[in-house]
Amino acid sequence: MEYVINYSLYFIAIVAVATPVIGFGIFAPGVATITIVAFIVNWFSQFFQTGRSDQFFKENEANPILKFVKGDAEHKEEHASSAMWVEDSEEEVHEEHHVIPIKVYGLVLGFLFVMTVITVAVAQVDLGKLNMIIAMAVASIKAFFVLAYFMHLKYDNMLNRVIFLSAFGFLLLLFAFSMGDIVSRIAPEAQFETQKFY
Amino acid sequence: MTSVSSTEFQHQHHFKDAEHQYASAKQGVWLFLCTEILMFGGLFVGYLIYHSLYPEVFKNGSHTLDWKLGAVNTIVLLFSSFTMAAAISYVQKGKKQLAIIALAVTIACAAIFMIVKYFEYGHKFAVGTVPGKFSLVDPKCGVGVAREKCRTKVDQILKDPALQEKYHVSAVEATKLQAVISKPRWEMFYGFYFVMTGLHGLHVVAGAVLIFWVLLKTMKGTVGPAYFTPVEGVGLFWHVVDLVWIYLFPLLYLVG
Repeated sequence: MEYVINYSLYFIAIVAVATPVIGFGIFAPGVATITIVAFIVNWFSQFFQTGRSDQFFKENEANPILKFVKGDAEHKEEHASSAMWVEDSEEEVHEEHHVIPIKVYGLVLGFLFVMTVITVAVAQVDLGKLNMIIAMAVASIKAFFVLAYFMHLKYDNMLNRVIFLSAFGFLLLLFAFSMGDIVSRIAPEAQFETQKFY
Repeated sequence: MTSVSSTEFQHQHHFKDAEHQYASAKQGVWLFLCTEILMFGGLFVGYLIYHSLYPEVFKNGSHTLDWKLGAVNTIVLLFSSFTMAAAISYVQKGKKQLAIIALAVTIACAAIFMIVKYFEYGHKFAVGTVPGKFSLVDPKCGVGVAREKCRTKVDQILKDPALQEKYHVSAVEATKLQAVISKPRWEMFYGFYFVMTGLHGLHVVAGAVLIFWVLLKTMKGTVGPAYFTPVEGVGLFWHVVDLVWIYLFPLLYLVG
């Protein structure tokens, strides 16, 4: 753990140097080459028969592998604002918003009550470190149901999901680095009893 | 029942259509909720770090909190989340009366939550389990590093049966308080307790005000099946308030 913390600056420096080197030195010339070659190929292709791929897809419509690669047209997300930008969506789509029935909300609420009772019941027994883990696990299950049903994330578009979950990702980053610092640097020198993790 | 037909709602000129406007507004709300999660998240990370450094202090501190009151508040907030979700659903369906009732119940739940919090806070202020220098009999005593020599309010109450009677400190609570002040830096737990629940309480009040605003909008009929963005946004905010409490309750009241 200590080494990771001590050398993290070097890691960051390497990444910071490597990113532009790889990006401008390798990727960018590659992209430029492909663009120019593709332009030439495309320009010459106008003199030859076009629409071959369409013909191929039409002939092999029943092929399961092709179906998997192209994605099933029937199972695409078709709820409210599924396109990242509305300009991307088809013209004048009037999609119905998904309305979750009250009964589902009631069931979720009942489940959340049961989970609360479980949290309280488990906390009455002293299990040591397990107590914290169980309490956080149950809280996370509750949070998942609130997010999925009450906050409609189950039926929301992917972008909103990614936006919200990214917050938890950054939180994890904050927690990991702070905790790493504490257990490797502060805790060993503390005046009181702490557990050593390394 | 009045309902706004889809032709009545005129979207802003810089949006392609009503759907575009709705999606953009909701995305903005989600971004705002991200900042909320990160704000509370910083406190949670701080709590977990200090909890790992001073396990005894946090254990003793959490024993002085009444988990029954915390559980009541949890149930109240979960139920208010349900009524808020139901209110959105009713607005979407155009059931105005039911939506108004659901929103009113949500505000009532927020009020119950804050009343319970008021009693909890009141007792803590009286007993002196408060953060920093305010837990001392003479707040000016603890300037510098002299805190260890100062007399705390808790100690004063524990040595005086008359004060215990006055502030309704039972024998069970007295032993818990004795355990709390037996450890150095015990007031840190209450620092976390008051900052975290205080910030959360502020969000409950703000949420109640916003729900009232939405309630007025519903009564006026400016929101309906064609346009319900404010209800949806406020609802999302209210669920995040609930979400934070879902983690706060076990962390503060149950696992010490």
